[in-house]
Amino acid sequence: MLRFKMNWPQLGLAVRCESCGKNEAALKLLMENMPLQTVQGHEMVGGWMIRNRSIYMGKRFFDIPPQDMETESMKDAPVGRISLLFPQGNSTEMLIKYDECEDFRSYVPVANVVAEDLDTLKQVGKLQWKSATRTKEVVIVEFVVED
Amino acid sequence: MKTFQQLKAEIEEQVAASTVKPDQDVLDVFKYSISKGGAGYPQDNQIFTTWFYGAPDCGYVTDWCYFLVELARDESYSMEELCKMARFWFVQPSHFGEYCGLYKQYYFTKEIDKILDTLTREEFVQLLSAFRAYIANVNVWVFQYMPWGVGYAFMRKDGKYFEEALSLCN
Repeated sequence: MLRFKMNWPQLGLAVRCESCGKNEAALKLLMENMPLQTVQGHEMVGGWMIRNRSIYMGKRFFDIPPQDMETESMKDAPVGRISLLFPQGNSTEMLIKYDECEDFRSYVPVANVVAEDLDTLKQVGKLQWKSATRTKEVVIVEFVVED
Repeated sequence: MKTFQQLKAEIEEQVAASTVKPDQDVLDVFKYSISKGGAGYPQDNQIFTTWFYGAPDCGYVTDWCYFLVELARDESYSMEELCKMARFWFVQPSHFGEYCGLYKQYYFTKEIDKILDTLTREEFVQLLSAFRAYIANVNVWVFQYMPWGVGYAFMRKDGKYFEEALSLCN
């Protein structure tokens, strides 16, 4: 099972993530680029999702053609779903659903936050929404492979 | 004129510099409301319109690079056609981004434009991918500093809202 962790050191919070059984080749490529750091953002129209708008894949070029990857909408995805948007070359976006979503467009599902950590994920989501709309605090997220 | 390797390395250096630390252009425009190029000055010296128009144009550049790289996978598109599309698609929005104060990204666009016709297909993919990664970082910081809280002043309205409003007019 492919596993990784998302840490938000400033918030003192972390969640464990594991493959969702879809697009494992894409997840593997992403994980070959870990450890990674980026600025944690929030979705602004589609629902309750945290969003990473720029994940830089500098070690391993992402070269899986879009038509070879399974897609699903975030509206239909379970809470905790981790999906990629436009993974290609050196970069990808990532969305993580922590509550209801209306976004019915296609994304590339790769992983889930484990059930035991969904409350923590929701906590991160709420703090990030507060940052996006009020405090503007810059929150960094780290992605680390788990054995 | 820079070589492909020099330009790619320069862009990648900027990607690394702006991943967890703010991009200077975005800081100036979106955090400190400075518009060095003069955008917004004729509009009663406000910055809001500069944010509103400058930010999405940069966002488009990210997506155009994505689609250009996808098209480059299809050998039925010649390099000449890909270069022509690249110039049509991202030079104009990138130039507008410069007018709004996002200088570095347009500097890279101009440098890419200079060597575009000399690139192999693989170099085209590598260079646009690196550029897309930098513009994606610009977008990260734009989203970070955009004052999204003002959205609470413009709440969605529905039929019920307008029915109530009409009832007040009776």
